[in-house]
Amino acid sequence: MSLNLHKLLPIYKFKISGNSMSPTLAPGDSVLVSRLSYLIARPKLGQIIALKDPRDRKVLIKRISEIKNEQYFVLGDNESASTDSRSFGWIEKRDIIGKVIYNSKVKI
Amino acid sequence: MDGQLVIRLQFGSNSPIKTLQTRFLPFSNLIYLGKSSIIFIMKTLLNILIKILPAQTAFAHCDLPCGVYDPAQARIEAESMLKITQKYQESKDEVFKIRSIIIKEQRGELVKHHLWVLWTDYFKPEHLEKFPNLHDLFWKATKQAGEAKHSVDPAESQKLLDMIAEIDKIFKETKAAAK
Repeated sequence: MSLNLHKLLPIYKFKISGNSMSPTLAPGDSVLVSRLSYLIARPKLGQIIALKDPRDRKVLIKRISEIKNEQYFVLGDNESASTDSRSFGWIEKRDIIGKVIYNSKVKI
Repeated sequence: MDGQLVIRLQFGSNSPIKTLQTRFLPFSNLIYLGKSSIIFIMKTLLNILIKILPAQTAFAHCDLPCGVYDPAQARIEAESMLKITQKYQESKDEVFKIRSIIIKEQRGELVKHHLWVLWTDYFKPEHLEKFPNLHDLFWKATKQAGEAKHSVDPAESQKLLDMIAEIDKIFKETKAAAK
């Protein structure tokens, strides 16, 4: 049985499946998500976040499009091919896993 | 220079030389780094992390759940695999046998697809609470679909059908409970 020790780390790596964040993120891209970012700061408009789908707890990657009363409206960058807050509504901070801080497209 | 150490580090051939001064003072250690060096080091660390960390899947999907699910889709494809392997065993026609294997491969992929759709889209955490073997059952069934794909033994396809029947039983119970 795997212990999944990496789940204890402050940074998670996610691989993108699907097109709803195109062109920013394409299927197969990897991103690093900081779980600590929102311990000290509030999520801000325009930030890309990893969140749990309130319906089935699947991990999603979306961008914060509106903030109201500590609730967040998230959209995919490719809105015509995205299932997001337009389907499942506003999300709470507890649904947010963390902030996308790095993606595999960035080369140094 | 008493009590002071200066270290020079070069980060890559295109990067400017950055000076890292570590001053060993009696009561504290102070490290001076240029802003561009800090950004470079952070990016390097993140680049290493993104290579070495195990990835989980994050979905950026457009899903339009139609709400129509039925293990019958997987069962019909698996029945087709069973019949194909039986006909394969009876046949002496090499062309027929080659075609049988190709079509069985396609049916096997369809079985996996239909099982995955059921597993990920239909079944919910509350179902798992009631049927704790659900994940194991789907995992074994999709593995068995792979076994049935690379075998021409009808027994492998029959095992797959038996597993789909178990899933179907659970599916019907969840449907009945939802009414």
